[in-house]
Amino acid sequence: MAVTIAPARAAGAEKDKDPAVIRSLIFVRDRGIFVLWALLLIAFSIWASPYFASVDNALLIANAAALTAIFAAGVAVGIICGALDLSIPGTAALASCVCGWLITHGAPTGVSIVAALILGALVGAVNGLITLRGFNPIVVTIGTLSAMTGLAAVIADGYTIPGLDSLTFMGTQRYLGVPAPVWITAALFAAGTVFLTRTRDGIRMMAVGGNPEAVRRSGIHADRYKVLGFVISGFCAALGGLVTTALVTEANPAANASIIFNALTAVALAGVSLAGGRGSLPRVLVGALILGTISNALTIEGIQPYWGTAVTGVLLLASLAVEKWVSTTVSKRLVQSAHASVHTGTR
Amino acid sequence: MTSSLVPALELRGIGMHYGYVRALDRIDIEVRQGEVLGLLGDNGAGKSTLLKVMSGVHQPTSGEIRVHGAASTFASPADSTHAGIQMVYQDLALVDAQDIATNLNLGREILRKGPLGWLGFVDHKAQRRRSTEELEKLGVRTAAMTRPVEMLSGGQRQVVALARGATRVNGEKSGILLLDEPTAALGYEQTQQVQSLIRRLADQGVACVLVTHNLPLAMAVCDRIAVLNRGKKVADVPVADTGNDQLVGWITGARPSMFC
Amino acid sequence: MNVLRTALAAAIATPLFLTAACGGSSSGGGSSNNDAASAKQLPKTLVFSPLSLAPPALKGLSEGVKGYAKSKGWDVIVQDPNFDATKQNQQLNEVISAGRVGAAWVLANAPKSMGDLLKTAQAKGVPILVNGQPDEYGFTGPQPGITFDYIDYTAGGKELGSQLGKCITEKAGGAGKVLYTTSQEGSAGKEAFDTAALAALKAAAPNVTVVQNLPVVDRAKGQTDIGNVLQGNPDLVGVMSANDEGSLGALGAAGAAGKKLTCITDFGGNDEVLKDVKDGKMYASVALQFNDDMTQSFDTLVKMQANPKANGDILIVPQKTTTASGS
Repeated sequence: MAVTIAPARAAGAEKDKDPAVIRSLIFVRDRGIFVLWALLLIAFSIWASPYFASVDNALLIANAAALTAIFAAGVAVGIICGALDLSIPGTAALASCVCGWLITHGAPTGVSIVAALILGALVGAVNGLITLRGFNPIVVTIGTLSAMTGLAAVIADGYTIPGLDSLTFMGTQRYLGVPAPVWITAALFAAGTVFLTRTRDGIRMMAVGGNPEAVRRSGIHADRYKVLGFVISGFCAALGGLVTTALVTEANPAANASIIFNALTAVALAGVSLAGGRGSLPRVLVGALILGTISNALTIEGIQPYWGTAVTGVLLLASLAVEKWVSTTVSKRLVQSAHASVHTGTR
Repeated sequence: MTSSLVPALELRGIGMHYGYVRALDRIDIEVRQGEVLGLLGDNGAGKSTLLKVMSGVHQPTSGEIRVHGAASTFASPADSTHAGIQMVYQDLALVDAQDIATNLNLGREILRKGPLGWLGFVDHKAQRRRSTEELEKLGVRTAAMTRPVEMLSGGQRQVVALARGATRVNGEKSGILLLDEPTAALGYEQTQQVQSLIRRLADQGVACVLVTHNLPLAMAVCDRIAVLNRGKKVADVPVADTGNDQLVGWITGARPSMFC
Repeated sequence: MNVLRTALAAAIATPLFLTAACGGSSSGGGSSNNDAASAKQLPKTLVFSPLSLAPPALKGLSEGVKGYAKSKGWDVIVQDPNFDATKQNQQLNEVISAGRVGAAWVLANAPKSMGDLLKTAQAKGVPILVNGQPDEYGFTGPQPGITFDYIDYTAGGKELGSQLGKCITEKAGGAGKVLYTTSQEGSAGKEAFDTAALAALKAAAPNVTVVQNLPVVDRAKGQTDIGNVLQGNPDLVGVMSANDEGSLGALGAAGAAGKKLTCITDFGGNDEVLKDVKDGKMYASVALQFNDDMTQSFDTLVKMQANPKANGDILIVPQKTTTASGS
């Protein structure tokens, strides 16, 4: 016996889809960043011609973006899960030094790489477990950052570890004309996106970031997923450190703070909310690509790199403003149309 | 429609105090399968506390709880869930960024068949289908399964939260659903919808305990009403045998307790 | 307050006074030269106070100093002010005033604040070697008991520029586009270095164009940025770099792009760079010879201890250019 509700209003108030305004606003919010990148590419092709619009340059941009993208993936997963992982530069430095030390002491390259990646995941686990005890994740990760920076310096004996030529296969080597880091980044983001949107654990992890209490009340061990977020973040950090080392064939124990700055910028451009629970990895990738594109175009034109940083900063602020405006407008309009169709319960 | 002689949920002599404050004083209460029990009372009367004892959030300082006749202790909400009790909280406990289907299926996801399933891949289509069927059975129509919960109106969110509790409890036909102020933030039309849903659940055999301030709703939807006043049960009557004035009297304390 | 000041001054002066007195009395047979007598009392202990022991290069230097001094029969006290000028002053004051050391070698965090310390050292007859030039400490010209040791950034830049010019003339017909990768804004001596480098390059190869002055701080970012420059200037012939990160980054960027840079010159000279020069991948590397500087500094201090009233030297850190042919 179906539930009878008050008679439906005239068909005019019923809408099967959202009004076009709402739909276009949502489009701007979700796909706006792709449009932005496309616009930048077109603009730069004209301004920085003839060198900008070429396959060679596209690969250059992709290569530059790859590094930032790998770290940005780690930062994004952390934020989505509800934690800001500031220890990423330290994990990157430590992982590269461990790998470098192993290689220079005779270990096979493959083993060294795997060891470094496992180390990254372990650091993530440690971060996660400490955070579970109730400490603020920002403070915890700053602590582990310092610890790892010191450790890395000890392993590298105070200097860098140069001469790691066996890593070029994942550094400057090209496959089908595309540099290795681009392949690595593509694989990472493909796997990550599928994980977050299509697997049970990925979906649960995102849910934990959005409302851990709700997840817990569904009978799920929310804590495990919080730790998983850190583990993924640590893994990405280690991977990023290894790719950086591979590009320059030198492991550097100095934790590079600009890693976090660039990664966070890319993540913020991609509209990942700092409150957690939502975010799209493909957009983060485009965020990193935008950073790389701006830096590339300006340098080609002979402009000092810090102008690129300034432009990116302005762009970031602008995109935050646009996103806020879109969200508010969407909510307001949805509320209006919600009242109109509550009788039928459909929209 | 009520059935069976053994109550679905029975509380005997439940007492609860915080320091010197007696939040609950020797409460005896029971609800049968297919019955809707209303819990009324003024603020601070103890109705939310009683509900939390039923759901395992609080442990009573005295008294016993029986589920389908078997004595039980709930050390945590997980224990009560295990015993077949679902609670719909006032804050709804929904994940805003995810869509309706995901929220409804959280914790009981359907995996794909074959190797993809071993890797943990979720069958979104099957989940949406299952949720649509479940909601139809409940006689609820709401927004599309793929709509994110945050884009729903207050009433629609309430419906989703209720449906989630209902689907989890309905499975074995021996479930108990606890509802804490489900219509607090809703307008008239939406309250009607919730009312119909609760009645429908009861018809399907679920035992419901409903804490509310809304007297008309209680009168319309409940089979029996219990009133709490300062931690004591002062009334426990079938709805047919009472009226607005009596209930208000018990709530405010103007009317003496039934049990003296 | 005045009373307090006098008391403090007396407290500080007393040890000096006593030491001088003691020095005088135990010197034995009628030495008219008080200074020589006090000098004889100064221990063969050197205090080495760098900016901080954190940078590996400075840590390495302190190890080198200890080793070399030991081989000459001296002890070394290594201090770590950790980039804190006040701490550095305090630490040095302790050992110099107490007569614990016979010579001091200081890489000053804040040269302008060392005035009092220098005077104390002079009064005690403890020879002191400081980095930089006299005017940074408020002096003009050589000073008694103080030796100044500085890096000649102008000479460094000039050598870097002329080496690149030489290479372009030899190998690229004397003309073409080059990139100059500089040190970070705010680095010591940057302006003098950059000016000298660009001037020397122009002089050695007038038809060369410098497309950009690109700051390079870390190798990975440098490699990426230089890659972008190469993209915009595909016919780039050479790179001169004010640091190793820049030259190594240039090499990496060219390799990744499948191009070859005809001329790379470097200022810095770490092991990897020197190897690249030997292998012919880079044209030349100009390096500061800190080891030679260490020995020249130490030997000067020993010499000064024997004659502390004499004017100290003004030393320059030696510089050496390495090219493929050896040199």
